[in-house]
Amino acid sequence: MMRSKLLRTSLILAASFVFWACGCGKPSGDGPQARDFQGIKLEYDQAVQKYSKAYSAAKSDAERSKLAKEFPNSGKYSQRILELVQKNPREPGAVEMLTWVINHDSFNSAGREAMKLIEQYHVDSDKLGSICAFLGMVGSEEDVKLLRSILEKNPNRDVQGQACLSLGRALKNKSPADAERYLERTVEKYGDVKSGQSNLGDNAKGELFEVRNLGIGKPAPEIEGQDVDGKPLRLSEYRGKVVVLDFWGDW
Amino acid sequence: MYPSERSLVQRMQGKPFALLGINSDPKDRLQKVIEKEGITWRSWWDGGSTFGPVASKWNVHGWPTIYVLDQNGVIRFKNIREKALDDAVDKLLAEKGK
Repeated sequence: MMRSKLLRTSLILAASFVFWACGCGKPSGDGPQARDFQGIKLEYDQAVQKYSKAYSAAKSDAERSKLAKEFPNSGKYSQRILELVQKNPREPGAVEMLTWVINHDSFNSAGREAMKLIEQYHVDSDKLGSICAFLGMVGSEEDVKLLRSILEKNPNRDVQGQACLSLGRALKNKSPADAERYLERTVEKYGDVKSGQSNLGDNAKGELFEVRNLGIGKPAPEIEGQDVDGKPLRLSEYRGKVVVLDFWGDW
Repeated sequence: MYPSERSLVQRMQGKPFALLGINSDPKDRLQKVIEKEGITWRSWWDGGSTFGPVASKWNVHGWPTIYVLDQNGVIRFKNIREKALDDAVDKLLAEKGK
């Protein structure tokens, strides 16, 4: 994990997985806006590829740090995509374009503009599963507001389910009681809705375990396993010490 | 990541403290990293992926994820790093035993 791009990398990987799992990568529509959108995406992908090649070829940490500052800025691509959408915001193909903007720029004004356009013109679209999944990961106030609108207004059961799960995720640290209700509702009403390799019910149950057992003030569950040398390792052996648990990888 | 962890472990020598990892790398990669980065603290090897048994049970989707436990095994902080992590550990060490 490259320290300086930790969050962005995790989110882009997660978003790409969700994007793929929802089958949202296929272009819908053939018109000039759709073609322009494909063109902009291609430009961005090529810029990222060029950057990745240069980064892999770098020979020192200093060189890598310098390169990291030049990671392609999705913001200008998002702006161009928003301009396309604004020509005809009601067009169904707009959802895919706005999804791209949200996936890449949810943290800034481009992402917020995209969310406004979704709320205004596409809150009932059956293609919002991917956006709902993404919004659950950061869970800002704007994310929660849009998720609530979608849960309330969208007629598609799969989309509702994803919005419900995402509300549970988004609220788990800020309002655990609300989060628990959304997660329980996901299990009850939408448990069987497919999501990636599993379903919303299983995902919600994983979140419920965290909300109920891994909050501040809860006793940590036991961890039992082996270290890299195969020697047994148990969390309870460390009672009496301050412990930092670090879920990590060198990838 | 590794420098700040090494420095934390160094600073905590002789104190009732432990840094424990739950690792998601394939075994051979983990062994190489341990050597290359001078990792002296222990890690559970969680099966070689981010979907191992411990990470799944703890519902870990973001990497890294940090939990800080006090001397009674109670979760007191979540996902803090660098200075905030150092300060939290110092604070917990200063608490009298209950």
